[in-house]
Amino acid sequence: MSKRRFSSGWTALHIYGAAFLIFLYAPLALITVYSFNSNALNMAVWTGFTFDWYRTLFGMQPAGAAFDAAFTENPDRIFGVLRNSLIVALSASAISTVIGTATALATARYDFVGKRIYQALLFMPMIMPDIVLGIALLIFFVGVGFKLSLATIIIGHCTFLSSYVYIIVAARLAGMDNTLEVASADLGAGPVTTFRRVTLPLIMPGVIGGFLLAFIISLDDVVITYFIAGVDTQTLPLFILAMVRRGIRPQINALAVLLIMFSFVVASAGLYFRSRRN
Amino acid sequence: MRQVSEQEVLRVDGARKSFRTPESGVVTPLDGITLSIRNNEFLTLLGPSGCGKTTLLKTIAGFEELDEGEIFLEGRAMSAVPAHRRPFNTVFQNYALFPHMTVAGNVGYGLQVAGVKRAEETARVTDVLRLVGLSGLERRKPAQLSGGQQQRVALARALINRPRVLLLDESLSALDRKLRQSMQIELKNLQNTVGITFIFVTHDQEEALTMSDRIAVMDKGRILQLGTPAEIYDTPKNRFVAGFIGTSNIFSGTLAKDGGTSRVDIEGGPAIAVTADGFASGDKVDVMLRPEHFALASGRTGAGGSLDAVIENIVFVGTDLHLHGRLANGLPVVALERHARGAGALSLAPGQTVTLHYQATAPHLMKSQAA
Ligand SMILES: Nc1ncnc2c1ncn2[C@@H]1O[C@H](COP(=O)(O)OP(=O)(O)OP(=O)(O)O)[C@@H](O)[C@H]1O
Ligand SMILES: [Mg+2]
Repeated sequence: MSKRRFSSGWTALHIYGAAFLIFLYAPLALITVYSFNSNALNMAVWTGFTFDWYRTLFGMQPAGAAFDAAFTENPDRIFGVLRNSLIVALSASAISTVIGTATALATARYDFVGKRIYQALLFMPMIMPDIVLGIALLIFFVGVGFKLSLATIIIGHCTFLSSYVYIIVAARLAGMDNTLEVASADLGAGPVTTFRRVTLPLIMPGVIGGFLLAFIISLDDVVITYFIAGVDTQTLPLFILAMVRRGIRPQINALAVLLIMFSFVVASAGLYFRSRRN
Repeated sequence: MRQVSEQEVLRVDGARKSFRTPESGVVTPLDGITLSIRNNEFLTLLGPSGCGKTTLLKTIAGFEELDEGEIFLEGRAMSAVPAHRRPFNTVFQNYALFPHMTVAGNVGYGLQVAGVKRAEETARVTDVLRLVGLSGLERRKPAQLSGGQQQRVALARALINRPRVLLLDESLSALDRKLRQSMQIELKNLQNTVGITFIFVTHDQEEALTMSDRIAVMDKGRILQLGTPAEIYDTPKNRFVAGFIGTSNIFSGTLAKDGGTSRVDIEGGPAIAVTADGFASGDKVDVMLRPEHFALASGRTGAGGSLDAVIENIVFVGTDLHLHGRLANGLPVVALERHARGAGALSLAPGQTVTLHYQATAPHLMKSQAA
């Protein structure tokens, strides 16, 4: 009896596990399959294998059918928004990594008045709804008289990305024995040498992890970017959103697959760095 | 042969330090410590856990600031000198090895920071690793070493910089007896050849007695007594010091001087014959008798006395036998007999009453702490 119950529970667990993975990955698998489907009218019906959608995405093949012309974007435009997205993601995550790491070091190593409140405030940008943050930033930029541009997107992204980096690096620092820094000083190393040779190498996995996370979050942020991007600056997610508004076309599947692959590479790099350090 | 000169290297002057604890109390691990450390000396700090030994080392090394007082190195005040500019090195209680560096990287760190040439660094690392018996482990990471090996890396890392003063915080505690003894000898050799001054923290009183030129016995942030191992052992200043080093029998009583002889009347018990210079009749005193001061046979010359005790336990400790017994008034007493004479030869057994003889010069008088 009890054995039966055990095995039925076991089966349920298997089913649950399988369902979990299906819900998570089936859409991704589907989109990948669709991106190679030559059926331009109904992507759910397989008519044959093609690279056309990838080709048209990069302008390597003129959009053949007349109905495509309406939405196929100028390939220069795709490269333009991609460039914008990369500039924003790279600068914002680099700046946030510096700010977040410095903040984590300061809160871990020094005591100052209002430290607790300050630490609590650091979580705010993460729990605040994106839409609120977006509107707040927009009002701020307009109020201060900043012209909305790539720069405002970068500044806006830094406000919440710094928090993510801070949390990851702070966790790493919490696990670090700070007598190591004392030992380094004891052996004659000044504060700069100690930071470069002892502290930084030890928190590096956290710093890299924080950078990669910030990079990915920045790269696919829609809501906040939507508010603080100027009329003539567009990032990849905003561009895709605009495209989808005019109907889901096969090219979007191709673009999505490319993004998945890119994220996969970045995430793998992050995992690789973690494992190498520990 | 090495000379501990009278010349002072390091001076701790009126050092005071307290911490606020999370329990909203205040602990004072340094409560007015004044200490003069001589050139090339091996000074040991001995005291119960939490008495402030590590804190004293930290303030000397510069990791903690003093609330009051000053530390002088050859007459120069150190309070404005940051830790990395002080010519001291520390072997940390928890080793504090850099986990991301190899053994060679850890040991060579001080030299790299000082800008020593690569070739010289390699040669000195090899030398010092041979000294601590870790040759061949250069490329291991600390996590790949045993506790004792890690401790020796920490020792090597501190030694390689040839500091003026080496601060050792229970730095041999993780080693087995044999390794520990050979490291003790190495440290003493280093002291002779290189001329390093050592400040050494240990819980091991045997280690303290054999290694030290002087011992400072600490309790609750104060130095109770500073002296040579023999002074500390033979003439402790008070009950605490006497109890902390070696085994001792300590009895409280009142001194009675009667013509040429003196004795201490133990409450509800026998009197102990003593020589009592510097004490007055009627003084409340503690009397210390080391176990080796007792002899079962009374074949001694000169004045003395004896105590009768019932044996409760006989403990064999290699060369000696420890006899644990009780006096008539119930006070415990420990006596020591050479094993060579043999328990069997003396036909000792628990339950038996023996007479413990001592010479009048043996009992050591201390001012009673309660007074
Ligand atoms: N940073 C600190 N904050 C609060 N209390 C502290 C701090 N550092 C040490 N103490 C307290 O000061 C006292 C002395 O500590 P210290 O480390 O000097 O002891 P110790 O003599 O080295 O003991 P042990 O033999 O156990 O190593 C202890 O009661 C300890 O709890
Ligand atoms: Mg300690």
